[in-house]
Amino acid sequence: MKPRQTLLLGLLTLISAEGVYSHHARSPVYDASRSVTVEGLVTEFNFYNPHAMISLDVTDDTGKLVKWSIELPGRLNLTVGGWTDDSVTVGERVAITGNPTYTGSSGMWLERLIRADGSELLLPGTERSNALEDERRRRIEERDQQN
Amino acid sequence: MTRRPLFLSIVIIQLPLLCVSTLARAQSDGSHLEGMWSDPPRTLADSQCYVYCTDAGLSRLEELLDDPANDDRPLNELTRAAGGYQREQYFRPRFTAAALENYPRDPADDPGFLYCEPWGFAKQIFSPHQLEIRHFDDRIEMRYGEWEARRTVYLDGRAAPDDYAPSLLGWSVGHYEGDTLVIETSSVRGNLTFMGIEHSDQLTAVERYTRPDDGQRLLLSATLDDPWGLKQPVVMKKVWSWAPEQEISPYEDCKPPTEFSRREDRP
Repeated sequence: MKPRQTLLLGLLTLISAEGVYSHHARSPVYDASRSVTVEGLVTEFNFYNPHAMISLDVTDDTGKLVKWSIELPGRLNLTVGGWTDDSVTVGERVAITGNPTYTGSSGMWLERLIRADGSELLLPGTERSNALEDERRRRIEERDQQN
Repeated sequence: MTRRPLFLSIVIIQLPLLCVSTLARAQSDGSHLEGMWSDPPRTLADSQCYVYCTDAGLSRLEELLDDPANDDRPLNELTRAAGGYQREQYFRPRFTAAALENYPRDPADDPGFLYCEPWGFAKQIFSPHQLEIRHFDDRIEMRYGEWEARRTVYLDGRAAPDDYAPSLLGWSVGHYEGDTLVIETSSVRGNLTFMGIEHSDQLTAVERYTRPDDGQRLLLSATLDDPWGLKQPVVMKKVWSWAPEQEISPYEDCKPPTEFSRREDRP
């Protein structure tokens, strides 16, 4: 696993801890053990509570248009990370990676969002995850220096 | 200057300050807790208390982080291990046989998930994100980002009305012990907890809120007791950070799930 993926996984486990606090438990709907990626045009961004939603028009391998529904943390959570209702704009092209539904419907829980220019729109917990990894590295360095 | 005069001078200077400080603490008006709080500081210990933590879980995480054998293990493995230790070594031995009959509950059975039913007291007080505290002469108003829930804590000691039926968030009265806000809650309708068990309407709780000297954190230590579900009380803690820039946004778009699976039906 790449470091970046490890960081993200750590973050998701530590912060999201499904079934622990999410008002809307994710595990009955989304399979956290799998990830899928789709690319398409944003047709709607609902910056709501308890969960936000991105609607995405995706053209599949056969050329058929498929409408995806991407669920993500709610406004009360996203604003902590600086998100606004303009963070995702209708008409922009994005690549989204997330946990698919168990049923195979065209829905997922968002893990990563990459814009057309290659930049990532970070979820609120990513900076926390980075800070925790930094703290852990410092602890190890300090311990090693003492020994 | 000899040591005795130095000692005396310190006493002379410090004593009045100590008296003023003690007086101020005894007369706390709660204003030091007032305002907007949100997710905890980005430290390992505080992040463990993002929703709730226990001393047992925090100690276990410290042990795991201090062990060089774990240096190459992903952080999420260690936090999960600490959480498992907390669950098995701290919580489970305190659960009654009645509570263990339906433990751990399937998240698909959660009324919050199935019907968009707001959380009860035992989950709401640990809810992540915003907590706004407003202080009045006779009461404190607490407003949470999650579910946009509102609580009133009476400071005049008034008892619940005789006909008060157990409710979602219960009946709360509070007082100050120095700078610590102490809230006692009862008459909570049976509901879910974050521990994976249900609680009965016999649940009682004592919450203690403090703001350490740096002013940047709000700490909660809550003791929960329930003769139906707990053999002995549990102590759960939580941390918020000062967040005056944040706002509580409307909580108006909860929709019951259109598709889901139960735990036994998942791969």
